[in-house]
Amino acid sequence: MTSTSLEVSAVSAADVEFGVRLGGTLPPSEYARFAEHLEVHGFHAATVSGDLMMQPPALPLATMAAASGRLRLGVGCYTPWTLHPVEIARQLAYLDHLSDGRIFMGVARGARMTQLRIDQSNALSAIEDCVNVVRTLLAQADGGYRGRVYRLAPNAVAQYPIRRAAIPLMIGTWSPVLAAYAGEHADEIQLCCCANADMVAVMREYAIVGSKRAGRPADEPRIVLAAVTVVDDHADVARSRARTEVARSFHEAASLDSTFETDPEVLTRMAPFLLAGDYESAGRLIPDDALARFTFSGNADQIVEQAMGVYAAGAARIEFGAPFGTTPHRGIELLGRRVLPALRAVLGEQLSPVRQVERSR
Amino acid sequence: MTRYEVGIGLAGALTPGEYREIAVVAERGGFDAITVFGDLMFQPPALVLHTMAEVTATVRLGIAAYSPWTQHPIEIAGQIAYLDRMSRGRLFYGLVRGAWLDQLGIDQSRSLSAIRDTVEIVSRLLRGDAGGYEGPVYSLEPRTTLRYEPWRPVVPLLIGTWSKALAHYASAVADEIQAGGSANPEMVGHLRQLSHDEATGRGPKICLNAVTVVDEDHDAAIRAARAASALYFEVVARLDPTIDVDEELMIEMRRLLDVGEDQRAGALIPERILDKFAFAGTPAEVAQRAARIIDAGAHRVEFDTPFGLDTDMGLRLLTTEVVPRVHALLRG
Repeated sequence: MTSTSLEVSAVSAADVEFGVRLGGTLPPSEYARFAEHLEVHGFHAATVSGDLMMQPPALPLATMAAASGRLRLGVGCYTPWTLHPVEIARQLAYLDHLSDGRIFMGVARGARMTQLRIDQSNALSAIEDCVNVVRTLLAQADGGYRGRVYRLAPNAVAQYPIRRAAIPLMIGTWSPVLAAYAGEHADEIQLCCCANADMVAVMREYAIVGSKRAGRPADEPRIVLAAVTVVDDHADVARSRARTEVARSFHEAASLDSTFETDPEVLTRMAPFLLAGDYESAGRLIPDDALARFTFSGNADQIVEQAMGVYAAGAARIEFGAPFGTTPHRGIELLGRRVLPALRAVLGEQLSPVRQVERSR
Repeated sequence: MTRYEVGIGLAGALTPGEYREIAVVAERGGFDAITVFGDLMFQPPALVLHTMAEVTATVRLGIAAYSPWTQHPIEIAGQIAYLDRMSRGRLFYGLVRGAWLDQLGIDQSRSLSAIRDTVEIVSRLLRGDAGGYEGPVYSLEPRTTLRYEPWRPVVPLLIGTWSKALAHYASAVADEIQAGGSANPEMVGHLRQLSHDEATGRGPKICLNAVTVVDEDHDAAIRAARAASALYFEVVARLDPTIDVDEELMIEMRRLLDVGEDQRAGALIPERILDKFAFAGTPAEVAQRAARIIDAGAHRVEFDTPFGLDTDMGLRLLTTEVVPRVHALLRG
């Protein structure tokens, strides 16, 4: 841990959030249990992924909102294709009421839309329109909106109660263009399926194009890394499970990470297993160094070291992604009891004198 | 099991706490079903029903309804599956062509196809059919299946329509057909004609629902019902073939609604016509009208918001004065 702990003097527990990313595959009662446990362990945020063919995130988040009191809750992420922005706006307004203002929205281009034969060629316009329509409706602004993909007539005004006129925005992306858009308009950028500290600087560079355009500080928006997480006392068991879990998304993530070159032969050899839905066999082909870029996997100490590297590189939040452990609840227990306290200790100890003075003020 | 149901329907513009209270009162008050509308610019019915499912145990819960334009069928399937599991099989879902979508610049010319595609995709996903589907509006590649377990492989379907073509389609696939905004007993026979197979007499169950204002003061109830039903009246009045509506009146109503003058627009509705599109009056009058609709062959009659001069008072009168009267009238 020494190499990373030397570099973290600029980051403290007060600057970062601990988060989790849940999939939309669990029964409702499980989401309530998770929300309760996450708060007990002191996690700050939970997002529910909007991956294709999983449950729509708004419903698990409604369940979690009712079962929690502090946790920030995020849709991570909507795509602008399967829900019209008027639907997104009204879901957010309701969830914001349910959670007493703890909701945030993520929007991403969306993967695997070819399964629905959806043409995504104008994704940037669709995302822009989506954000603008949602913001127009929540601000109860009249005058309508006319975008390239979505529009709103001037008389189209929300008839439902709105708690906050502006709900924090997270853009899920690896792309320079969307990151620049986020630099201009978003509160956070989420890199999904990424546990690679080197990518933080890359995204910052992309985002800064937009931040400058908007006259925002260079450290806005915050950068969030989310990746499959498997923590277990037996590191090999954890890694083996993580390989299976990440196999489905590995090809896409590997092609997006500009800081790391995955052996093309690995991808070629994985392809037939993926096609057959044999994620275990596909996952076995992922080399260790690649696994560490796209998952948080290993024993608690290894996860702490990996997470410290990511925070030290400037990420504001890690979202430890499902399945968390050999069983989800065992994984959350280990994260909550072993990983988070260690991270707090390291981040706290590394508080620079300047920041300690700032905090005491 | 009763041979008919009495329910309530809500437009979504309240807070979660208010929905909780309404659901509890309605279930205790003996209502068989609660539906939440999907009207554009109101709250999303799935989330409102999530709140209601948490605090109820027996009442049926319905999304009434989705339009096939603002949500992809995979989103609809996901919402249905989640709520059905939460409510342990008390959910039903409705599909309608959808009104006011011109506000979003959406071309609705292929409504029937869009509804058919939605039903096909939702049904396939819920029952785990991995064969894919190719439709004119929505498609699904083979092997695209849900990554979670639905509670039931089939969730009851309601089609909301006044149109012949959609009613005909409903005859083949729906469990229930509803003429949204009608309190006219004569519409029951008309809907049956449109949606039932002549030879076998088989077809979906029929539901009528309309804006409801019940109050001990008849005149006050009528006044409030006029304003509350103006928006829906303007959409559905022309669709009821059993009555004639003055076209000039409709043009003037549209003009007033466009400038937000719902009260004045509602005042133009003659009382004899209002009666066909709203449950308005004293508890005895409203119960009488509901019982006539059931007598005419409807399976479900639904009282829609605002319920009364205010929601609480209206709901109280519905549970204590109207529902018992409806049952008494039908027993007699």
